[in-house]
Amino acid sequence: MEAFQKIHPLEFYRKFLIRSVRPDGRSLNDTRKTTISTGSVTTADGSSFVKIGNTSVVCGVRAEVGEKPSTDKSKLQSINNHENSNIFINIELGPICSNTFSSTKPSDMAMTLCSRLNSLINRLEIPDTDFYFDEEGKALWYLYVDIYCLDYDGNIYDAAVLSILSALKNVKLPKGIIENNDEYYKDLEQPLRELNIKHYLIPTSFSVIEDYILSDPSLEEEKLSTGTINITYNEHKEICLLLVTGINSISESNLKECMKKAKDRCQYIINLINTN
Amino acid sequence: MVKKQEFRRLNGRTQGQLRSMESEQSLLNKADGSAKFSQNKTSVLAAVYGPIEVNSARKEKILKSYVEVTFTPALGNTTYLDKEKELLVKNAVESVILTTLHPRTQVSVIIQVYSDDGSIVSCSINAACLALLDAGIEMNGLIGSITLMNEDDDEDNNKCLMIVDPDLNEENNSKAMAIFAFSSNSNNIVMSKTIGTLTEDQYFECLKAARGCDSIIAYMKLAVKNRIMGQNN
Repeated sequence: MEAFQKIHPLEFYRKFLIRSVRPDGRSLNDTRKTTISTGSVTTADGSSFVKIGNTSVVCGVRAEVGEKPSTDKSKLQSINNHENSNIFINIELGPICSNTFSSTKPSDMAMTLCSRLNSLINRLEIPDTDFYFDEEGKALWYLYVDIYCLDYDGNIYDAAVLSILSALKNVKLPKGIIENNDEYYKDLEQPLRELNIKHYLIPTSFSVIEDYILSDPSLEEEKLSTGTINITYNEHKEICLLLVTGINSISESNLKECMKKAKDRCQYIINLINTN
Repeated sequence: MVKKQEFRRLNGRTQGQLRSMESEQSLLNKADGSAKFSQNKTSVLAAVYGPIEVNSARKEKILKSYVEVTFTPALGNTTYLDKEKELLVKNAVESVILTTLHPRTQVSVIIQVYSDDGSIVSCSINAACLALLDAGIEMNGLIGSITLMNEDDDEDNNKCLMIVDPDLNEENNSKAMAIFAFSSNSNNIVMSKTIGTLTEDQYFECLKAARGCDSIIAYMKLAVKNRIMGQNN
């Protein structure tokens, strides 16, 4: 049995898929158990740990004070341009999580993922005033969000988005005082502030293996797949990011089906994030 | 409906009007195939080498050829954003190339941007398709790509206007964008990406409008026909 799986992985999967079940016991639409815990990294300004099945990522937020950029922000405001954001995301897919990644330079996948996640940040619509260090906003907080993948068993995108959202919800920033123009002090008497995150981001990913669409793919399923669909909704069921890629094309009806599945998952994920 | 037709964009085009397309094939000597594809100020040069020997043994695939896409921006070094574009182009072209015909080989597609004035991903995919045709790489169909965007209506705040093939100025003012790629051999979506927030209805409206833009694939057919048969035919 094991030999069969190793030599003919696709044939092995096909035997299961025609019976609408996967080798790990899930049906095609089942997602793996998702857990989120926050605040586990005490040295960070906000942190989270997300597990989807065996895929686990840890996310930490570091806050730094910086001067306000001289250029007018509103002119730069554009959906493509994420350099105006006060949040910078980096994702590390090191050799610890899978033998496919090298330790020297970031893989193409990590880079692509990173640019996707950075463009999602503007979808949170956090007001600019939340980043003010002092009352007037002469100096601003900059948040560096680092995601480390510890165990890679497929569907890293969902795990990364959930970890960013829950880590940012966990962030608490102190108010500050500026004296003599360049001396920054933290005002410890005032209460710490949380970020006002306006929208949730609810990601759901699918893999296409031949004619079957599998929710929440594991690594093995991702390797066999000929297409990937990522759908990210906000709580109003509006599309924040929809990505259809792969070497096999997808029909409109299949896409609609995926959207429906993704929407069904929304409330579950919102509850999961809120309970932390 | 009448109002919609009267609506004109800042650049003088109507809502559903594409910029005029221009192309030139085989302009590079060394490459197996090359093409330049421009839509007004957006201009891209694509070169194709292949099937060639795989340059790194780790990437070699036993059953099919490996498709590599390099995206070089007009200015500066390649950034993370360019890597994402690279992947979008790669996914799109890989779906039309018959990779199983030449196992253990590599097909390299190199995209060099001349100037970026919006819809750069779509333009790159179209250029890559023309270059692959020029190189004589076996494909199961042509691939055409189109970018659409939504912007807020100035007169009615609850409504969104959808326009095709935005330039950079329009892209910067947009609320949401959607990039699509279609193959000529089926009705299915080969590649799709959205940027920004848009409702499901808006997405399917974009999809419908994108399907209407079959002039891109028709243009490619004409370009190849002209090149082979001469301009007079």
